[in-house]
Amino acid sequence: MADDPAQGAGAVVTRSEPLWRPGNSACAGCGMSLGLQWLDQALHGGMLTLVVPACCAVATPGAFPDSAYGVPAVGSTFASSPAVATGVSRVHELNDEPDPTICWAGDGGTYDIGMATLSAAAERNEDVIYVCYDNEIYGNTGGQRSSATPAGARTTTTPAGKPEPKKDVMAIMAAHGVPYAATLSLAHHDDFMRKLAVAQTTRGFRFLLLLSPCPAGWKSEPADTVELSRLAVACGVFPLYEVFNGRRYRINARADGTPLEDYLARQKRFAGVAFDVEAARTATKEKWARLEALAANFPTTDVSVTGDAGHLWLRVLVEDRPSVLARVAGQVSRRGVNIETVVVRHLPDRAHTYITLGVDADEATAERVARGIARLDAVVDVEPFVGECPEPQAEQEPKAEMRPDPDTPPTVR
Amino acid sequence: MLAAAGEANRVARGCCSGVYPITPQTEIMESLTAYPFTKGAVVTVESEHSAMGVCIGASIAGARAYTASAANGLLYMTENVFAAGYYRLPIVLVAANRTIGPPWNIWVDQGDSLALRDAAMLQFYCESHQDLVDTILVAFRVAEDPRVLLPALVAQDGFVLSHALMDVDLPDQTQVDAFLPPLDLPHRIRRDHPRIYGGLTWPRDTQRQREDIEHAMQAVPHVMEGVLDEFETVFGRRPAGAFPAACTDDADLVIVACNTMARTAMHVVEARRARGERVGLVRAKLFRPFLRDELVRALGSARRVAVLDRNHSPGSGGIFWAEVVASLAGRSDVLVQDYIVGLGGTDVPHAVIDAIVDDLAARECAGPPVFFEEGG
Repeated sequence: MADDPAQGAGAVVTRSEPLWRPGNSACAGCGMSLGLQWLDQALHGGMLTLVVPACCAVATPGAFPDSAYGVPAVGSTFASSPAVATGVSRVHELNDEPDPTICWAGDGGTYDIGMATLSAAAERNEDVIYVCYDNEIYGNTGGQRSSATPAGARTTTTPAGKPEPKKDVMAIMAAHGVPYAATLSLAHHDDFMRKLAVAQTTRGFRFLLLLSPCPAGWKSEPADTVELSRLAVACGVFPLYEVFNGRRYRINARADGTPLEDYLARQKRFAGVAFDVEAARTATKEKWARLEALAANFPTTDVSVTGDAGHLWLRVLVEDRPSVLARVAGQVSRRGVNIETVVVRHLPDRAHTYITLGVDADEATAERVARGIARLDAVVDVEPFVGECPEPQAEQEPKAEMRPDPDTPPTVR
Repeated sequence: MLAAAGEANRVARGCCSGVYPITPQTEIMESLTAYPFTKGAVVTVESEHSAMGVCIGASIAGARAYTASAANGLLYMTENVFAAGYYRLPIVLVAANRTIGPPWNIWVDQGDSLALRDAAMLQFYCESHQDLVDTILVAFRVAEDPRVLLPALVAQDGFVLSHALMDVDLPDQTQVDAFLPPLDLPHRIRRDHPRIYGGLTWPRDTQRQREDIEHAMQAVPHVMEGVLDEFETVFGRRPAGAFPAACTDDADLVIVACNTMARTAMHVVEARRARGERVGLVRAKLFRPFLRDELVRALGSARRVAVLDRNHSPGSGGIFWAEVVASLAGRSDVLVQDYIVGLGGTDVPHAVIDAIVDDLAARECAGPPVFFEEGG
C-alpha cells in the first residue's frame, strides 16, 4: 500500500515544482497570487496539501487537465475547506506523514459562508494552517460586499458604500484560543516569513489573515498592490500583530502617522460615495486602543506558568543568529537558576530557532527569568510551562542536547 | 458494521469519519465515537455538511470514510454528497429514513434519501437488520471497485427498523477482513504526484465526466454479481440483489415496495396466495442505479403493478412509481398505479396493503398517484 516507495511513509518529501506555477490566470496585481508565491518561499520546498474552497484560488489555476498548483490541491465546496482539511490532516496523522495541511480561502469562505465550519475546526484545534487571503470582497463573483468589506467601500451590492464596519475575524479566532493567530502583509516580507515559520512549528489550529489587495474590486492600480499593503499598515487600518493561545498579543508594526487619506485615495472603491473619513479615523483609533490594551502586557508580564505537573520549562523562540543562546542563558544564570537541559531546534526557515530550557527553579522565579528573556531583542516569544519536555517532537530530532557545565556557556553542536 | 469496515482498513490508510447527531441515527455515531479503532479517527463536527466534508478530505487522502444521517441532516449534507460523487469517492452513508421538516416529525418517510437521487451515488434500501448489515459490507465492496468508485447510501426505516430488535448474524472481524480488502483509492492524494481535485472544467470535459459516472453506474450490476458471489463464499449466505422477487412467476398482480413496507406486503402476498390469488411482490432494494431491465424481468407476467411510495415528489407523485413507469415505457399491457402511503410515519398495516390490492384489481385503467390511507 505504501506509495512513494523511495520516501517511506514518515519522510519529508521535497518537491521540484513551485507551489504556484506560471500560467495561472490571476489578475495583474492580484494579492492572492503574490501571497501564494510567498507561502511557497516560507515552506522552503516542503510538501503540503492545499485545501482551497470554491473561490479565486480555484478559478485561477487553470482548467482541466492543467493546474498551476505544483502540490496536491483539493478544491472543496465553498463552506467546507476547514472540514475537508480536517479529514486530510487526520489521515496524514494516521499515516505519520508530516506534510502540513493548509487551507487557502478568501474572505467569503472565511468570514461568511465558512464561518461555522472554521469555528468548529478551530474549536477542535485541528492540526491545520488556515490562511485567509482577505480581499474584502467577493472577488470571484465580480465584487459584492462581504462581511470583510470595510465601511464606506463601494461594491456591486453596496453602490452607495457599505454602511457596516468590517467584521473583526482576528478577535473571533483569538476568542477560540487557537495556538497561533497572526495578520500578514504583502509589504512586510520578513514579518510574513517569520510568522509562517512560527505557524509551521506550532501544532494545532493556526489562523493567518493576509490583507490581499484586489485591483479589480478595489479599483486600484495593479502596480499599487504592495504599496497599498504598506499604506494599510502604516495608516493603522490593518495592524500587524499575532496572538498566542488567544491570550498573549504582540504588535509587530505600529501606525507611523501616515494619513488615512493616503490609503483611501489610491482606491476608487472609496471615491464617489459619502465617505466619512473622520468616522473611519475614530474607528481606527478605537481599534488600536483595544489592541494596545491587549498587547500592553506582552511580553514582559504575561509569562505565567502553564501546565500541570512535572518539570519547569521555558520555550523560547529566537532569531537564529550568533550569541543569542548565550544571552538567553545569561538571563537564566544572572538569577542564580541552574539550567538542567537545553534543546535547540531550528525552524525550517533557517532564520528562527526554538530553545527549550529545563530549569531548576520555582514558578515565580521562572516567570522572572521569562520576563528577562522576553526583553532580549532577538527573542520572538517565550513560554514557561510545567510538564514533560515536549521535545524532541516526532517529526524532527533536536539538534543538540546537553548537560551544561556551570563554567562553560552552552553551545550548539 | 461501519466500525468493522473501518477496522478492516487498518492495514491500509485507516479510516476517518465526520459525524453529527440527528434522530434517529444518533446511536450510530455514538457507537462509532466509542469504537477502539486500531487506525482511525472519528471527528465530531458541527454539521452534517462538515460531516461529509471530513469524509471527503479523509477519502481523498486514501482512508475509508463513512457517516450516517437522516431527514434535514441529509438535506444539509446534500452539497457535499454531490461533491463526494463527483470526486468519485467510495464513501458509505447510512440513512435512517425520516420525514423532512417542517413541520417536525421524527418518523419514517423515504423522501429524505430519495431527495439525493440525482447525486452520483448508489442507493440501497434495506428491509431488515440482517439485510442492513450485509448491505453495508456489499456497499463498500461495490463502491470501492475500480470500475465503480462512487459513494453509496444504505437506507433503513427510521424507528421501524432503526429502533427495533432482531436476531442478526453479525460477521466477525476476520470474516470482514476476508471480504473487504484494504482500500487503495487510485486517485488519492499522492505526494509524488500532485493533482488538483475539483478544479475548473470546460463544458465538454464536464459532460464527459458525467458520462464516465453513467458508465460507472452501468458497471454496478456486473460488479455486484461478483461481490454477492464472494459474500456467499465468505459468509455462507447471499444478500438480495437489485429486485428480490417473491411469487412473481405466475403473478397477475405485483406489489412494488421498499424497506419494511415490503415485509408487510409479503405477508399480504402470502395470505392471498393461500386463497389462490396470483399476487406477487418485488422489493425495490437498489434504487441507484435503477436497473430497468432487471425490474421488468422481476415483474414477470404481471399485468397490474401497485407501487407503494413512502415519499412524495410534489407535482409528480411517488418517486419509485416514476421509475417503474419509465421502466415499462411502451408496455400498454401493464397497468401501473401509484399509491402514496405511510408519509410522516403513518402506519402501513396489512389492511392498507390489502385494500390497495383490491383497489388495483378493480381498476380498469391507471389513474394519477393516489394518497392512500387506512379506511379510505
